[in-house]
Amino acid sequence: MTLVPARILIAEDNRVMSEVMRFNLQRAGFEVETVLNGRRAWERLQEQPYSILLTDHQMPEMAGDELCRQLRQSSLNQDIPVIMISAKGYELDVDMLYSELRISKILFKPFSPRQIVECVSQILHAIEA
Amino acid sequence: MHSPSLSSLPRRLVSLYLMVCLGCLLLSVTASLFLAAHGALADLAAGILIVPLLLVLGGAALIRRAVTSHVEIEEQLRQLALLSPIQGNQLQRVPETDPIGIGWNAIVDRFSGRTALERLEARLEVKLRGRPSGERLVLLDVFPEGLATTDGDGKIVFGNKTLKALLRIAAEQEISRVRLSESLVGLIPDQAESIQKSLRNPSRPALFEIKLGQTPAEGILRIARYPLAGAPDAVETHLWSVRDVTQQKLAEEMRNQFVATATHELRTPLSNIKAYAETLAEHDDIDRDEQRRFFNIINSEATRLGRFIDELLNVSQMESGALSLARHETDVLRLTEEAVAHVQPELQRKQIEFQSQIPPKLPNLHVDKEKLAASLVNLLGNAAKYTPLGGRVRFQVEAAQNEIHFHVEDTGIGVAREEIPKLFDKFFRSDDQRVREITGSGLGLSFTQEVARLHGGQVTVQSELNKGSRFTLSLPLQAE
Repeated sequence: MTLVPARILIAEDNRVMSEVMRFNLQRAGFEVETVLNGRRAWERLQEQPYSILLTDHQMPEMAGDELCRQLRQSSLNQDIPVIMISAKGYELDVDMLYSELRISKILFKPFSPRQIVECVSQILHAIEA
Repeated sequence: MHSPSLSSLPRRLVSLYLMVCLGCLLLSVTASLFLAAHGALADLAAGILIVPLLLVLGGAALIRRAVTSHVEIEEQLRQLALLSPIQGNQLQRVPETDPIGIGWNAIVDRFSGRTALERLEARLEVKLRGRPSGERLVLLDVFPEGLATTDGDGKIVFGNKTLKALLRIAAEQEISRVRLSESLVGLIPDQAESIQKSLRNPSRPALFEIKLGQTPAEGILRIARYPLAGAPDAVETHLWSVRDVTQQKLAEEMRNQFVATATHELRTPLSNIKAYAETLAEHDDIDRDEQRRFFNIINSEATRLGRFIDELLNVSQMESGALSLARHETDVLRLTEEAVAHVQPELQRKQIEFQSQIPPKLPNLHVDKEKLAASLVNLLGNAAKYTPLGGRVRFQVEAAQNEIHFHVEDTGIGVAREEIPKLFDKFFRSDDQRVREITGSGLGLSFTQEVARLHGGQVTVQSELNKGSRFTLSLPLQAE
């Protein structure tokens, strides 16, 4: 049993989208931090531990899949759970993302904020158990 | 001569015909004698004689033609009666002048076991044999597809001009006796193995594509090879076709890319609208200011969605050539101010230094205000989009004697020299990674160019990679 709220990092270049995710996750009791691109997310992950990473697929500087690839190769965050969100469709290589980059869940836009909250809770619950 | 079984049909026909002719002649001679006796015109009498005579001669010719095949059939049947048993190859086809001839030929074909395809081939062969071979070769040379036949060793027996051009063989060079698979490998030595693999089984048709470079734009050829079964002299054993499918592939690629971009552009505002609307619906304790902020976001995202749909409609109108102008007297100064106001937030966000040089007095223009404003927003928006943080964008309006120029200059990422000619193509987006990371439909510049063209003007570009770009939209001052 831990009383410290889980800390979530959101990497999303669309401010409007990351704001609404932050709003809903904070209300669900999580601690949330947002960054605007993959490179910034990578830097923050080196400085701080996070319980879970929520990342967009298409972002400037460093895309979501590239960020994950680097994380899986790093010693610090090689096992961090990742939820990926994407506005892309059929051109996304879902199999590779699940198997190679060990993404926990891919959510396609448009999704409902409740889905994000449920997804985060489920993954964290599974880790604790 | 009385029992039908003993007299042949053609002979009966001829005798019947002759009797009718004789009757006619008798009648006409009597008629002319009668006319002459009563002092009628000599011409008329002669005419009455000549007409039946001509009829007799014409009829004889027709009957001869009809009867020849019948006589031929009768002759063959007579021989059959003498020679037994029946052997198919003894029967000969006759000219198909009437149903009897056609029916006879069908029987002959049945006996000799020829299929419809073989008959067609035989007929085609007769037709082609009748023509000079030169004409046949010219016909194949103007064909847009490379064509060749090869022998058992894979060496070319015949190849048309298009084939030489596609295989990059000089027109004057002889290609017969060249091995076709080797000239394909010569084009792309690093794909030798896959080419050989595709051509492994000579008895089956082969169909494959080869890329002439790293990108599709460098060329894609579609190769087909068919085995020629049962060729008469068995010299030519394969028929090849080589087709340049580069343009087709590029168009497909552009369309796929467009669909992907369009989906992304439509989903992004849509998912924001959904997320905010659901958040508002699910939490009833959000304070009023926050609520208002969320509603405003929904509103502006809906506007963005609407704008993108307009852009899509513009493109479909452009595609069908239905994009038209609604010209009104327009205050250019206000138009430029509105366009600048549109991109101002993005310029500020990226801390881009913005310089504008607009003369205080500008002539009014008779233009489509909406479309021209959208075009200027496109140019300014691109400058803001593709200029890094802290860069510089300059907007300059210049009224010359007959033209007005709108210059948009930036210190952005620029355009590679080889991509400049494609810049105004619909759906074109640069291969530059920095461009790929920024969303865009690849439609803005083609729309802008089309709007300028409809106004009798044009858009020109000067650009250097990593230095920046300068786009100029020029319009005539007098409406056409």
